[in-house]
Amino acid sequence: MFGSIPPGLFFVALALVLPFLPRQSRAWAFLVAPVLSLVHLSGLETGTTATWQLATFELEPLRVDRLANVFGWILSIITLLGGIFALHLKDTSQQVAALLYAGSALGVVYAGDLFTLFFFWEIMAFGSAWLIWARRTPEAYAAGLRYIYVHLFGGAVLLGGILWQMAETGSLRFEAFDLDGPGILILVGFFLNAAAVPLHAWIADAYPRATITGAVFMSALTSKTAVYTLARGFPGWEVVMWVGVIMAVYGVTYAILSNDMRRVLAYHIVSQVGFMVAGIGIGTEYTLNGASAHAFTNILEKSLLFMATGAIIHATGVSRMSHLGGLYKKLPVLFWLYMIPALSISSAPFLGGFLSKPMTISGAEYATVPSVVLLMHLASVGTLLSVGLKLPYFTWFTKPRGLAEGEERTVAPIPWNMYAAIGLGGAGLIFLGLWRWPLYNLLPYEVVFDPYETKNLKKAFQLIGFATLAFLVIAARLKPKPKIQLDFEWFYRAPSALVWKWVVHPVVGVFVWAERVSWELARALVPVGFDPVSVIRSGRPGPTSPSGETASTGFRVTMTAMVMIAALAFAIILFWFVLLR
Amino acid sequence: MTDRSRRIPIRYVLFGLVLLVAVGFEFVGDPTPREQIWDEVLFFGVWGFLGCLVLSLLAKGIVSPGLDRPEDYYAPEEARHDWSTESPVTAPPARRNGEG
Repeated sequence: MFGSIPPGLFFVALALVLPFLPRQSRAWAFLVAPVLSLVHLSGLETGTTATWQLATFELEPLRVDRLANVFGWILSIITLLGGIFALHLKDTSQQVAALLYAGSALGVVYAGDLFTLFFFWEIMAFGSAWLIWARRTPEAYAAGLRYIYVHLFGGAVLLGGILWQMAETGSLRFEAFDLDGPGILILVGFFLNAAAVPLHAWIADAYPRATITGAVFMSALTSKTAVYTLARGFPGWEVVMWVGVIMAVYGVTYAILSNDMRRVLAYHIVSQVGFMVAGIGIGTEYTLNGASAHAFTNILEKSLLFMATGAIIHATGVSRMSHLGGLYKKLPVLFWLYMIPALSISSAPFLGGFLSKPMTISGAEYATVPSVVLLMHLASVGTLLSVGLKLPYFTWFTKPRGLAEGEERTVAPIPWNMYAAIGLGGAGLIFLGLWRWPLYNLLPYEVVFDPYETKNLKKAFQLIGFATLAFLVIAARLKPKPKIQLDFEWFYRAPSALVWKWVVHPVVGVFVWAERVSWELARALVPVGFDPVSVIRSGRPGPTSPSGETASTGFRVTMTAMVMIAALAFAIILFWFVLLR
Repeated sequence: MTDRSRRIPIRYVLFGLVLLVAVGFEFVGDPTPREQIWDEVLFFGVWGFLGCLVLSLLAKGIVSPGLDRPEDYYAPEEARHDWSTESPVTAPPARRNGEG
């Protein structure tokens, strides 16, 4: 229908037009881009390409294959749901930033060359940073700065790898890389966006500070786009597998401890992306299918979880579990809407998540050492514990916390569109759980995994059932505390005081000194210009008037004379350099 | 007449049924050849239960005592970006029609 237009262009074009539309229609107009993208994708055949010539390089902004399509479909779907969730929003800057961000994510997914990939990679960084700054609090401003510094660093490493790769091979094609010099730089660039440990601290720092709607888009786009680039560029590397396994366990450990609901979910992204990265590192068709399917369902689940917790923040103004509790009486519908993605992400049967993460782990059982499989199962238990049990238990149940004696929590009404977006996404997860073929037919390779085999149902029921039993035993000991936990961000945040003292202050000091000198010089020269004759005659300006200004002797140089002198000097210099030399 | 206070809440009954189904799957379908540790009877039940305890212990017993800090631990650093105080960092405009 739209030929070989890259789907991301719909979003970028709308971002340019949106500010000129009537204010009331902008939130609805936002939905046009993802709808057009989905219509376009439904008719876009595998193998379609588009090429542009840039100098001597042939760029490929569109390369359609099955791997790209998995991500293209879900990114478009989630932008549509995010747009519905944000229908009440009247902040044009957020709407434009989200469109640029989503369009760039699609640009990365369909990029056939590294230059196009890098171009959209950087726009993603700025689009997402704006969704943090748009909250307009000092904390968000600082977090946004840290976020953009970290991502610019990652972008610089990636660019270094791309240029090195181009110098060595003469090609900009985005294919599977070797783990040599340029490959390692590119891998580090991709790892940073995938929040791979120890390059992950930005995610728990930034996502809880973003706007409510901004965090929804961020949870879906940056890390999952990086998963796509890893699946394309580094399948089958053992080091990638181990990084993924470490992420899976590390992320849930911090998620169990975190107090801020969105920080729990942010750390949990590290864990879930870890499963995908591990599947990519194992690199069989089975696990690559599992990683792709997991990315698809996880984008949906994680966005819905951010929507539900965002709705709580919207209603209560509170994001910390240590100051929540007892919300079931006030927000029962939101609880059930939250539990659909929470159970799905815990791989509960009959929900979308049951199709994907068990596929990755099942693939690992056939292809790698038992310790990897056991650690993945352990991380899976951690998912249920942190997101499926602890967060809802201490938010909707238990005694309300953070209130004065006798005080009742006030809850603001939640807009209908927030409920609608979470409900639609939840219905999608139930639909997938009951009818898996729309997802399985989309995957890169033929699917041999059957989630509803007895052994898979046994795993799910036993893991979920007995982990829940253990939680009921120890729930009181997991009560959230008003604390933060130090992580790798400490290595750049703690020394920042020294950097501030020894680098920023001296530089700012030079600017302040230069400004002061300029003002002093101007103050000294003004009387000279006002009465140059007195200065020439006596070496000092003439007598001052009662108002304190220097009294002119009548020989004040006019502006016309000044301009004439300057023009004459310029003409002489020009004459000297151009004609005589 | 039944004493209502002595009834078991329905959620406990349902949860007990889930556990029964989980155990019951061991006796359904073809027996799995015992090649790996996870092929043992009730392995995933034990792994789920112990995994929950181990992760809680790891988080609360090891990570938390060493790495817990007050919520305002980074406040002095963040204050440098507070444009309401004297700072060389330029402030963005005030919030308009946005959201928190």
